[in-house]
Amino acid sequence: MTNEPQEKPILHIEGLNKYFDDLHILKSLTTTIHKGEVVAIMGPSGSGKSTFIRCINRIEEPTSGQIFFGDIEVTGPDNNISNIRRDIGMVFQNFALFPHLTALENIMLAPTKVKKKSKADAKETALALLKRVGLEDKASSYPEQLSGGQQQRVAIARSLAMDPKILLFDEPTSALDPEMVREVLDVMVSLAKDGMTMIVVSHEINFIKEASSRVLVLVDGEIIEDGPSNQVIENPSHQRTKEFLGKIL
Amino acid sequence: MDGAFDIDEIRYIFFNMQVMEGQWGLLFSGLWMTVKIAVVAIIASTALGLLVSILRLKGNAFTNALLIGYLEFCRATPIVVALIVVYFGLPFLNITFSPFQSAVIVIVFVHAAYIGEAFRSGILAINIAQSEAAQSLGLTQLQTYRYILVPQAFRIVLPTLSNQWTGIIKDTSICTILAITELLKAAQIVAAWKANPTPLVMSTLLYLLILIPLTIFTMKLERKAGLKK
Repeated sequence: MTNEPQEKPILHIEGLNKYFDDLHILKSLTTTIHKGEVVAIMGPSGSGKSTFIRCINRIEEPTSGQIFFGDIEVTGPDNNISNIRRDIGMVFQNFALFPHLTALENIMLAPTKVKKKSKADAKETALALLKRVGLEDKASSYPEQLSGGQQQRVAIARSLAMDPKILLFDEPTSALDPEMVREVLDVMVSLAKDGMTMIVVSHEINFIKEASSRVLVLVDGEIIEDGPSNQVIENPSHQRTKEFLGKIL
Repeated sequence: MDGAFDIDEIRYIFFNMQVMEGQWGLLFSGLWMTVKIAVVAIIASTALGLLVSILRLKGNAFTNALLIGYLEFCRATPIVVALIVVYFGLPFLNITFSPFQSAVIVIVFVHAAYIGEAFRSGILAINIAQSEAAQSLGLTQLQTYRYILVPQAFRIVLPTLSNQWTGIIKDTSICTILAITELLKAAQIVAAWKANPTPLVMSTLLYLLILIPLTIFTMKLERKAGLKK
């Protein structure tokens, strides 16, 4: 809706189902995301938001359905998923930094080992990214020595180091103390302004208003609402969305 | 000589330095042999143990059954028995190993089973999010093990590992049943010749010469690991 319809979508999801044993978590989800969109996914807990975002790079294996990343079918059985994942960055709720590596080494690891960049190249990029997230003085700190907000900013820099075409955020601020939420959101807002395509599972209403172009509301494994952020938040069409927003606003 | 615990008698029997005169050379060459066996066995059993743990975690039902059998075999079999089978038994199949090779093979085989279990529990103790984060960056499974899981598992199992390494050094003494003059054998030779157990007591002190540096080494590793966790 924000992009010209002719443009090939960066992500197209068709009939995505996920079961955990008998539990039907995702119910035939279909959606399309275009380059430059910042899509927020909202919904009550247990609605399948995290499962959905984790299926996109197959950290969670979908039960059925198709996921296309540009021309590549992520769910294709013959595709090398490691190669596809290089271009899909992911930021986790609990940061998941590698505790045995410094901030700088965390960021340099994938570029040197996966992309086979030279150490010098990777280091230069990593330092620039640390600067971008405001942590240039923490290059040699270990995760344990950083606050939650700082760890999450390093985690974002780590994803950016692979130069991803899309970034997935799985509740990036919900494990943070309130006073650290802003520093992470600031980084995310600046990424959005730079045109990064992002899918963000979040209830941070300020971020959604400020940076996201579109909101999907997921309830019981189904997308019950999909529209421009201000419309969904100010004027939701679905009763469940109204109830849900009433609780978090 | 009337008291049961005459201090001079004890000194004469167990700490008789006259007995040791001219014999230190043999004991130290025995010590050197013990060090050689231990170093090779420690490195090889740690590497094999790591491999075993990864096979256990990634393997199918068949390899798992095989590896569980291997572990149970090592648990149930006294290491001396395993050594006798390898050194005295296998030649009947025309498979002959030197005493040194036999010792290393048996120690590595048995200790790798235990080290493998230690690594397996260490790897399982790592939060699943670590693998997910690694794989979301495009690391393959092998790279995830190599750069993320194994280094972290090492830090977790270091105390267990250092116990195993100490056990390996002690187990080198099973070589006394072979034609190989390691520390204990050297001490036995001198003790038999001089008809005095002092060399055996001295050998226990010489074992400390290896064990103390190993303990200091692992403590340093642990401290370094603690800093990074």
